Order: sequence, then structure tokens, then C-alpha cells
Amino acid sequence: MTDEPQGLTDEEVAEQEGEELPDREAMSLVNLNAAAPINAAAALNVLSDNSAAGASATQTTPITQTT
Amino acid sequence: MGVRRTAASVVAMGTLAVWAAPAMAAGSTTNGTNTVDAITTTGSPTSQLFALQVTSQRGQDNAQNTAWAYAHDCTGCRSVAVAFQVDFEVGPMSQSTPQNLGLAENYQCTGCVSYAYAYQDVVPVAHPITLNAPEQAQLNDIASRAQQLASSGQTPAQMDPVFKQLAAELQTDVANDVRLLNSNQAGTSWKGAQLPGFLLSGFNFASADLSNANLEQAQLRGTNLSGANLSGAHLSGANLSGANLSGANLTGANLSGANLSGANERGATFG
Repeated sequence: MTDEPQGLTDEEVAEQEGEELPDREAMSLVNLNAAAPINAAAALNVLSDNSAAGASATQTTPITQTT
Repeated sequence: MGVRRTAASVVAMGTLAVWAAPAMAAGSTTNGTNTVDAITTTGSPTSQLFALQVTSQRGQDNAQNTAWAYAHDCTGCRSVAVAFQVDFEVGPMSQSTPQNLGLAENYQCTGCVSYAYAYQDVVPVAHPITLNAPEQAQLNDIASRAQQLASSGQTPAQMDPVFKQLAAELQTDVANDVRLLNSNQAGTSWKGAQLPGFLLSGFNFASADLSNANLEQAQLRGTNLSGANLSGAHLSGANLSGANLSGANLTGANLSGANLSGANERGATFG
């Protein structure tokens, strides 16, 4: 006679760690193999007197970046 | 070409990682590449350039938007480069690496001003988009104001917030254009939206919030506006023939010159 398989006790279940999956809709939006938008700005005054340099860059993507 | 790259500028460009060597011409706009170069020196002391590009990319998005302002070997030169790009990513993308870069440099200058601003709006869409005439007119208006600002003689600190406002306006307008690909707008909010001359005939705006929206000269023939909030809306010159306005709130709306022939105004509130 073999032992009946035993289920997990309530205590054992409570010890398990888990995380809820995101909604299906959220997962379905991730359809990119690579998303790496680049946004950069730089302003320089080199060997210059009384001069003004200014630079900005704004990028709105599903990943928004501002510099 | 008369343009010298300093060690500092090379280092700076290095920090931009993938800065494409800008063409030495005033700028170029090809499919997916929008480049604005404002380069000044003694004898050619002023360059104030703006360009707006709308591009569509499929599969892989490698769009580039660059603004480069460079003044060198000069006294009192002024270089302003501003590049706006709307980048529609059409359908599924295997790769999205759009680049948006701004660089301003004064080299061996006295009293020079260099300003660069790059704005790139990357917009995923399911299907290709063609902007219609009223939508294109909005973008043209933004471009006109941006060019005027670039040529205004203002300092970088003065121009920068205004260019960012124009960029935000462009983003809103483009977002609205994308939203209006769906003619069923029942219950949606268009409060204060700028939709002058827009082609909205046959749309369903039932119970939508269009309060204070600008709908001047808009085409709204047969549009369902039942229960919509149009209070304070600007509807002068709009064509509302055959529209359903039953139960709509038109308090304070400007209807001068609007065509209401055949419109159902039962229960609508005017005042």
C-alpha cells in the first residue's frame, strides 16, 4: 500500500513567494525587440568671451526623455 | 568648409554617442532624417534656421533629428538651429532607436550667441497616417511661429521656454490627430481642444465634452452631438447641417455664421 500524495499545508502555501502577472493588455503592448531612443544636448563656449550658448533636446516616446 | 572641430567639440560629440556628422550645408531633410545646421563666422554672422519634419517609419525606426548651432572665429555672430520631428512608428516595430540631438557651440568667439533645440515626438500608430489639410495647417502655423521666434533676436534663455511650449503644442495637436482616426468619440473629452476647420462630419460626439473647444469653420455635417457639452465652444462658421444637437449644452457658444440647417436642436441649451 502506497502513501497518498499529500498537498501543501496552509503554512507551506504561505511561505511561497509570488508576484501577480501584469494585465494581458499591458503585456500585449510590449512588441519591441529593441527600444533604445537617444536624446542628448550639449552647449559649449570654447575660447570665447562674452558669448552665450544654449542647447536643449526633448523627446516624447513611449519612453519620454528631456535634457 | 571653414568649420573646425575643436578637441572640446569632439569630446562633446562623443558624449552624444551616435551624433551623425552634420552636413555642412544649412540643413537637410530626407525621409527619417531632419538636420538643421546653423553655422556662422565672420562675413556670414547670422543663421537662424528651423525645420519641421513628419516622417513614418516601419519595422525599424532609425529616425534622426538634429539641431546644430555653431559660431566660430567671429565677433557678434548669432546661430540658432531648431529641429522639430514627428516620427510615426507604423505597425509592429522590431527596433526603435530614434535619435534626437541638440548641440550649440561658440568657438573663438566674442559676443556670440548659439542656441540649439531639438524636439522629437515618436508616436506609435497602428496604420499609416496622412494628415489632412486642417491638420497640416496647424503644423504649418507652429512652424511659422517657430521660425519667427528663431529670428527674433532673443537670448537662448528667453527662447528656450517658448520653443518648449511650441513643442508641447505640436505634441498635443499630433495626439489629437491620432485620436480622431476613430470617428466614435462618444463620451470623450475635447475640452479646449484646437480643432479649427477640422473634418468631423459624421463623427459621434454624443455626450462628449467639447467645452471651450475651437471648432471654427469645422465640418460637422450630420455629426452626433447629442448631449454634448459645447459650452463656450467656438463654432463660428462651422457647418452643422443635419447635426444632432438634442440635449446639447451650447451655453456661451459662438455660433455666428454657423450653418444649422436641418440640425436637431431639441432640448439644446443656448444662452
